[in-house]
Amino acid sequence: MASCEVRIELERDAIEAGGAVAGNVVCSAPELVTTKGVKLTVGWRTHGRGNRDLAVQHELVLYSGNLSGEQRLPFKLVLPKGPLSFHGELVNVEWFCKASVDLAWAIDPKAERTFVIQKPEQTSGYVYGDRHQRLGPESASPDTRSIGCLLLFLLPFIATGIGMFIVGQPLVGAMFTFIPSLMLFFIVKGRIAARKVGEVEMILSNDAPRPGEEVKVTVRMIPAQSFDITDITAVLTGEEKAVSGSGTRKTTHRRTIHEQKVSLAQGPRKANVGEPIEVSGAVRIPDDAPPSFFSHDNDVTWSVHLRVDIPAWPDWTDVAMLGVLP
Amino acid sequence: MIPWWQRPPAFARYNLRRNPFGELTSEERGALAVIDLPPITEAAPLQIVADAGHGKTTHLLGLRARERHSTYEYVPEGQRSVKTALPVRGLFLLDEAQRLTARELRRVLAMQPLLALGTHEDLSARSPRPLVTLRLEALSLAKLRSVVEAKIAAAADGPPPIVTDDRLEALRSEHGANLRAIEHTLYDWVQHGEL
Repeated sequence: MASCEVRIELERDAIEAGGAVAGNVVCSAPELVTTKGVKLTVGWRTHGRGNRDLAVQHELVLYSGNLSGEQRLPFKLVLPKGPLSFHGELVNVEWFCKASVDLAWAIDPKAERTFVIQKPEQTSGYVYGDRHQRLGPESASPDTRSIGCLLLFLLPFIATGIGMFIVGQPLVGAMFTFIPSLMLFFIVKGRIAARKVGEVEMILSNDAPRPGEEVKVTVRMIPAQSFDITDITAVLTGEEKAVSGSGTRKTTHRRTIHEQKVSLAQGPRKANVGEPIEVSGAVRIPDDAPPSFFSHDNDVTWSVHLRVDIPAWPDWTDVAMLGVLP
Repeated sequence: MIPWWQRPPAFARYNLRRNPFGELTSEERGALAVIDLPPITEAAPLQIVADAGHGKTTHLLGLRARERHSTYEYVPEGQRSVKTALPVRGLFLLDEAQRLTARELRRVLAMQPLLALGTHEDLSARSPRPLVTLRLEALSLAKLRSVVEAKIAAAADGPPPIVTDDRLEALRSEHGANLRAIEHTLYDWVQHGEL
């Protein structure tokens, strides 16, 4: 059976984002072989703790016909602005070139090379991923319909618990009432907190910052009731997130890569009903911050977590997702 | 200056292209599966009984990779029937078979000659046909070594690292036959240079 070997030669294996990957697919056939096609695929994939994500950027047939001796098939393909190559603890984003020779009645010879896409000289206004709608402040409270559904689900348990108390089974009764009540509390605590703090607005000076830039976080609220504030904090968090498995086997793995906590309120203060409060502070994106990356099961995220700490009352929280640029 | 997230990754020091103990695609899992199964005949379907993480799915994916005319279906939580058309002439691999209704399970067992089931519970009592049972309860040092070496070899880009028997024994004594938990620990060892 006729044989053929294939390898990929790259001009450079570190390429600036938006540049071109160039090289040759080299096919060596000691005897004449006929190929239906020498195919080249360029794309990126993730590997690590999470399920694999893959995106093919270019797929083309470089040659079809007879191969004999050594044949060099040049290619030069323009790459997108991202995602940049990334190696974290949970998530890796890796670019690759893959070549295969389609032979009839034989195992197709294959070759693969990986390369690095680096940060461009000129900062690019680009975030990889399709979750741009998540940028900007978003309420941490569940909507009314979710709470209603949850109440409907939990009420029979609570009613059973009360019934158990009545029939003299206090331990079972306590379990049936305490656990659902606790679940309910954690889910509606945002709403409980909102009853005191009233309207809260978190404003970011820039939700697509570059490494090294500061983001001013301003919080405006008009308290619905008078209360004490222990502190108002903004925490800038950089995180790797990887999802493995699916269905009942689904697990989300997280690793914090950066955390900066800033106090926006200077010490304990009083919030009076109807009196507007405005506080602000700044978080700084570290100089070596990796850019935001959102794929199906693997993300690198940057976010600002806001917390209004109220003594003896659930804290009010909110999260704003940033899109850190390369 | 190269930022930390573009420097050579931790696994590169071991001549690896990726962390061998990270998530694989189902095709890769099947190709790398180390399986030792009794023959599957029309006389008696095979059931692989094990707890989560002990290798049921990997065994079924391994069978899929080896048997050309096979069909695999995973029954997700809440699904009570088989969605795939039964491949009457081929091997049907049904994962999480305990989630089917008794009636649906009887139907599959009655209609599908070559069948392998992955299940958390012994389905013998619910089966109209005798079942051959493989229980994944124990994990020998030799089997663990084969699993680990197969995964490392698939990710190697040079002389691969060697995990000593002492370290494998430590994993067995900590996690028993739970391969998922063992691989989780091995992933961390690779990432932190502790292999």
